[in-house]
Amino acid sequence: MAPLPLNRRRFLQSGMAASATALLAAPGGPAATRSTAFAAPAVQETTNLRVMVWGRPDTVNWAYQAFQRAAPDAARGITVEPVVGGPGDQEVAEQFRLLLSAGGQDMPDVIRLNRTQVPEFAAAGVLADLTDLIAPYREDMIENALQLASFDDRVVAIPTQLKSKVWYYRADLFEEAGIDPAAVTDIDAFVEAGRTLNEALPESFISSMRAEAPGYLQQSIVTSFSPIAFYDREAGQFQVTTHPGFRANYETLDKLRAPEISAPVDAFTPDWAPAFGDGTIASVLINEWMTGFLPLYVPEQAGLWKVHAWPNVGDSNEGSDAGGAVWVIPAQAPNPEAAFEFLATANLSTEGSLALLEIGGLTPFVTSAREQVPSMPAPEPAVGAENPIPWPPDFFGEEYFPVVFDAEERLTWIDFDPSAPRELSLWFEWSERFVAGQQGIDETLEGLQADLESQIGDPWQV
Amino acid sequence: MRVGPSQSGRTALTPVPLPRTGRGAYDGGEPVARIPVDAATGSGTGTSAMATTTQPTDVVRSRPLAAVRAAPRPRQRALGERLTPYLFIAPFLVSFVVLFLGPALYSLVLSLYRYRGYGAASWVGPANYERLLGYHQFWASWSNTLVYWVAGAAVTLVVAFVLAVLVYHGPIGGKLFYKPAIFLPNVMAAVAAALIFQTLFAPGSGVVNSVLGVDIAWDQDALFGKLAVVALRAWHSIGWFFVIFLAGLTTINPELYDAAKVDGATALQCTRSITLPLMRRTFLFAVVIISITSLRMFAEPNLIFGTGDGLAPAAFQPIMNQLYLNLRAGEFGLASAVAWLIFVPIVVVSAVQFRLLRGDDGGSA
Repeated sequence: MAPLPLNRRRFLQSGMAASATALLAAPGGPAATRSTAFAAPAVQETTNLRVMVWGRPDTVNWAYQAFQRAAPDAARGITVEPVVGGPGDQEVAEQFRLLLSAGGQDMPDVIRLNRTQVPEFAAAGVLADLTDLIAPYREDMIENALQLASFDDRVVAIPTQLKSKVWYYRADLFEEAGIDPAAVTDIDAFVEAGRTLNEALPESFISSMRAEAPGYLQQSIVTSFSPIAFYDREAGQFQVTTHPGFRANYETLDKLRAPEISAPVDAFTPDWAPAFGDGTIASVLINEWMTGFLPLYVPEQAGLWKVHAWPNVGDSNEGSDAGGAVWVIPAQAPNPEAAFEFLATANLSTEGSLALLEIGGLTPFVTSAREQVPSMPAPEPAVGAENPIPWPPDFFGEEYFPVVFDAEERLTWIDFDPSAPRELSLWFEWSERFVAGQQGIDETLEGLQADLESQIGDPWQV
Repeated sequence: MRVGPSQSGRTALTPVPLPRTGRGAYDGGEPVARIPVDAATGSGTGTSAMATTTQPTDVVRSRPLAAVRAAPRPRQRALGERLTPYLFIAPFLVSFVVLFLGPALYSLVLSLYRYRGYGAASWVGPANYERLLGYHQFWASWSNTLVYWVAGAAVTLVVAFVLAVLVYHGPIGGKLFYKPAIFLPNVMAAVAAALIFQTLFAPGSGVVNSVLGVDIAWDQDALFGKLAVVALRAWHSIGWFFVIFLAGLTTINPELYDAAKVDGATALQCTRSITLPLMRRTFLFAVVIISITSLRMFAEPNLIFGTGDGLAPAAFQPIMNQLYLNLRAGEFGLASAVAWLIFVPIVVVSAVQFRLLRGDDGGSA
């Protein structure tokens, strides 16, 4: 075959073809698939990290300030841009799915999730494997924090906020009613204390519930019976009718919904914050994230609120609602090395953990930092900070950290599966009917079991 | 098809009357000149020499022979004429196919799979539809939606029509004030309006309970809670339908009312015998629009009664919640199936409304 004459058009065509081939074949080219594990850190001079969170960007700003304090030199090479993915964790998960469906374009470097959503994405292999990178920090992390970040023996996340069970109560009202929280050791004692409180102070209640049993309350109740999961993977079936935790949930709700025990106010409704303000709600069984809400709702009540361990449900007071919040690095993140450096320094180093506590009130979960907390002085309030979180002992008393640290040692969570969001929504729908008195415990459990089977089937099958 | 030379012996274009449709009359458009004929040769597409002897009729214009020869060949011209309208509507067609039809068909396919939006999809056939049709909350959500639709449409359309008639015909002053005042709530964003109603209908500290001195559990009572949603829908949309009805009223010839008054008709009789029949097409438009918007309602009940997860209790959830819940849970197949199980009833309802309200005049509303 005679050689083709090389005119200008053919020259340009050949050049473009060669360039495209080289681009596609290159490891970092657009067609390359990123491994879920990445190589040694190679931070560029200035890297901008996009971090997706829900609600407000505060948590990103806190983490970055902690990063700056702990590693000022490294922080000069990394900037952080918060991206609010929606009002709640489920909206962020939804955004993550959409980004994945779009082939990973505009994928953030870091995404904040609750433990609830981690199994879905970890099982799908779309999260970076941090097992090797986190090795230097493992010894210093408390075991529950490490487990929170793990899935199938791999570390796929970096914890940022544990959500252990904490009971917040108005010490002044309890004292007036003659209630000793230390004597409230189980739910029956809690209910009895509620009656005592309401008799002494008819406008005050030890709990609150109206049309809905809050999800955090129900998850906190069932996790007293850990290990617990909706779906028994070995048996290949849902187990809400057979696992004692789910029945105990409704038995407990049945006691709590009594009119002299619970104020007729639902959580996160317009009536909720005012009910704290006027003393209608005198205590709340909840998780440690309430530390960030109460000072916003009732700043004038600093010093009146105290914390205590939850009463036992069944034989235990371990548990949490969602386990905790974590940072994940998507496998398709553009700057995974810089993202890990930022997250690890802010959350897993001693200096970063203590800075996060000072700035955002986040309890550290690395042992070296926890040891220093009891002797820490109250930090100066941040100048110009929006909604600054007060130093927890200033608002909740000196026993705050011992109570919370103790609860974090008993942190357990539902063994979530990839269909957890749908399982939770079905569960809460049935609980609404129960709380409304439309059906009894057996009917509720059987109905929930039937819906889980018909609407989800096998949650691990995609 | 008739062709022939003009009386001056020059080539002529002969108009071809538009065919009458089965029902309608000639629409009054310009006659269409179609076939150019060379008088010298008698040639012309589909014509014979005999045709040249036919007497010319309805000559509309003539052109020089050279111009006729330079004109496009008939087949080419016919093709161009056929394509031109499509070129004009091409932007819409392209966007319709790319942004609606394509995704809709994709969702139809998706509804037969189990798919999280990424990774592999598993074929499940009609299982998603079976799941939904066997799910009690799916039907409960439809039931809630029907209540919002029927009650909301009845209140909204009746009030909007009465207001429109009063403002248009009524002996009241300040019409320039009433028109924007009634329309004003429609300007407010639905989300903002719902948040205001959330405060109004809050069970404990709500304004409505306080003003009325009652203790209605708006968030628990299935009837009262739905009434709150209907009130919001009506308050927000009455202004829009008011404007629609006002526009409809202006299309009615005032002489009809004058004649009726001369004959002694009352205002009620005028409304019943003149206004209502002649506004049939306006009503059709209003009913179809309010039906579609009601059946795909989402924001109002969730914003008024939403709690921790932002969603209303099951007793108030509209059918769109089923779509949202599945989307939020990453169940794209189920969400697609829900979408089709909402779309099909909307089409059926719209078709029934068209048939019932179309009337005898062709129904081209």
